[in-house]
Amino acid sequence: MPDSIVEVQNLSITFREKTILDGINLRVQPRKIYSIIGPNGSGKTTLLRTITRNLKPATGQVKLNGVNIHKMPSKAVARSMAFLTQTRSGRSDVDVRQLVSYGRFAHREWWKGNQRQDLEIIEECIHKTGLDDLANRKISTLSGGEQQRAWIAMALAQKPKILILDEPTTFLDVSHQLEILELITNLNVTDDITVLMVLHDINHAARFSDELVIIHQGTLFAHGDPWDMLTPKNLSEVFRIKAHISEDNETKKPVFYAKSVIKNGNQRL
Amino acid sequence: MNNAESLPDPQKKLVWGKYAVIVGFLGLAIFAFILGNLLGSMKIDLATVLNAIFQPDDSTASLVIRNIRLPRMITAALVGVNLALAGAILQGVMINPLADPGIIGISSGAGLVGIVILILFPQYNFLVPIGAFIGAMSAAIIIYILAWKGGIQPIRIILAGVAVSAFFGAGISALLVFYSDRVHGALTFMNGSLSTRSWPEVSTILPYTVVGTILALLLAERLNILILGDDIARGLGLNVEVTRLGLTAMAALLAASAVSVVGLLGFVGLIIPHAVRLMIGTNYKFLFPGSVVLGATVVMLSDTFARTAFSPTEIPVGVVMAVLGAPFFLYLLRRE
Repeated sequence: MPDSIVEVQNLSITFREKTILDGINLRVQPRKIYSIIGPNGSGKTTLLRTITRNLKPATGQVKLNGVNIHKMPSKAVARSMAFLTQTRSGRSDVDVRQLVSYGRFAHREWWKGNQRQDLEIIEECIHKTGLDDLANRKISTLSGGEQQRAWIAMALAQKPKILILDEPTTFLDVSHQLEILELITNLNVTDDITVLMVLHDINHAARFSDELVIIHQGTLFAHGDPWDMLTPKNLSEVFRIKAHISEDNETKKPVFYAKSVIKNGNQRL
Repeated sequence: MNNAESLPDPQKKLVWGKYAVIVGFLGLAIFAFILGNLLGSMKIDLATVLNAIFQPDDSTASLVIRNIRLPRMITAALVGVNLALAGAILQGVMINPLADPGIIGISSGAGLVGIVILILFPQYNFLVPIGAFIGAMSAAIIIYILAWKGGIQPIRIILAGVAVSAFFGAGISALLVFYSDRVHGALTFMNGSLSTRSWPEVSTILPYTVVGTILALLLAERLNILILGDDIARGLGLNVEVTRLGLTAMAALLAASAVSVVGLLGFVGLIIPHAVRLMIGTNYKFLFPGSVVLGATVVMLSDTFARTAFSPTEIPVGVVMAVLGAPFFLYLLRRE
């Protein structure tokens, strides 16, 4: 068995002769939480969409459990990897239980309905995400945080080894942001699920992740422990801010607040 | 398996209201079917109609029922089923509530090829169904290519469809002008008419209806997943490209088989799935059976009206559908 669950090798993406991602290498190790951070337009979402086969790389490849993901059958990928996008469309009148049942699609034969095992997993995922009382409610009647939990329950029903999320906390107020991140970290522990997500809030990323991945102008700028990533140098070069960094008493993780914007990049440290 | 009964199954959850609506549609379909056989220039009572269907004899009434009204009603029902299914599928595949074989140009593709055959090569008119299919499929592919830009966006599909529809429509008009001496058959084809349709048409369209309905019911879950959006559907393990291509081909085949029998009958594919959605929701597991039954009902009723309302003049059923459909289309636009 390879020691990485997802391996990104020399990945490049070009779109209309513009290079979006350039030579990305990343090994995602099992049971860890990875957060990708970077400024707007740096290529974070593009990287997630390529890892999840929604974009084809110009060069390089993505391996899932050692196999090139673009050569795997769709259902086989979905049984190991679940992906939630940032924005979602779809039917407004689908109820929570039905949405969660879609997570079982990759485990079912196409002519069959849900087997007993599927039904048990659906209930289990509804329970794990705290949606027991809302299982029969229509998605459109739920709050933003509850909707997000329902989508996570759907992804969970895939029984994935790795859960990939694109900004799971956008559009949520701060208490719901924490609720979602706590849910994700709990699942990481209880279900041994590897997590790879894009987060907008750098402090959240530092607090809830084992590893931070900094993407800057389409390249992998740096990758490692939150303490090694949240440095004045990185924050100024990548995010163009002067920041004060300190240790959070409780979590022993780094936190920062931005002091000022660096203008025109001529104040490089 | 005893324990399984206590677990709520999202697929089999009993939704009595939805089943009741579908059963209601079914009752309406039977009523429409009988009505269509009762009404007409020749007065025939219910007992004679039933006799003609179950115990045919050589009386004039029996012959009128068996050779004219019965096959015409069956053709109407099958056309309604195929167009309603095609519309329901396309609305899901293109993630566009306004998709319909007529509006997005698939029908005009079928129509152009059909009219080319009818006018230029009348001796090959048996090729109309296959030609109509090729035209429908080509139109669907052209619309896809035109609308593709790193993904499919509903608004581009509609615009591309309108453009393709106008283009093929221009071709049809040009043919009608150049060959104005041969347009009579083509004219009823343009408006969608069930006049003089009989058993040969039933046997043309029936296989498509049967296979299409069965496949639609089997693929309902895939459509439910597809309309969650490409990225989510792919993440759930759906092969998005193959599913979309297969379903588009299926819709084109259903629409083409209907066009080859009645000509360009618009609005059925648009209004039927929407009416069903308004009543029983957007789950394709209910939407498909609901559309099948309501599609058959509405085309049977419309054709009966078209045939009898202005007797002895018969108006094309397409005119009735347009009168019903255009206001409904505007209503949907305002709701969006």
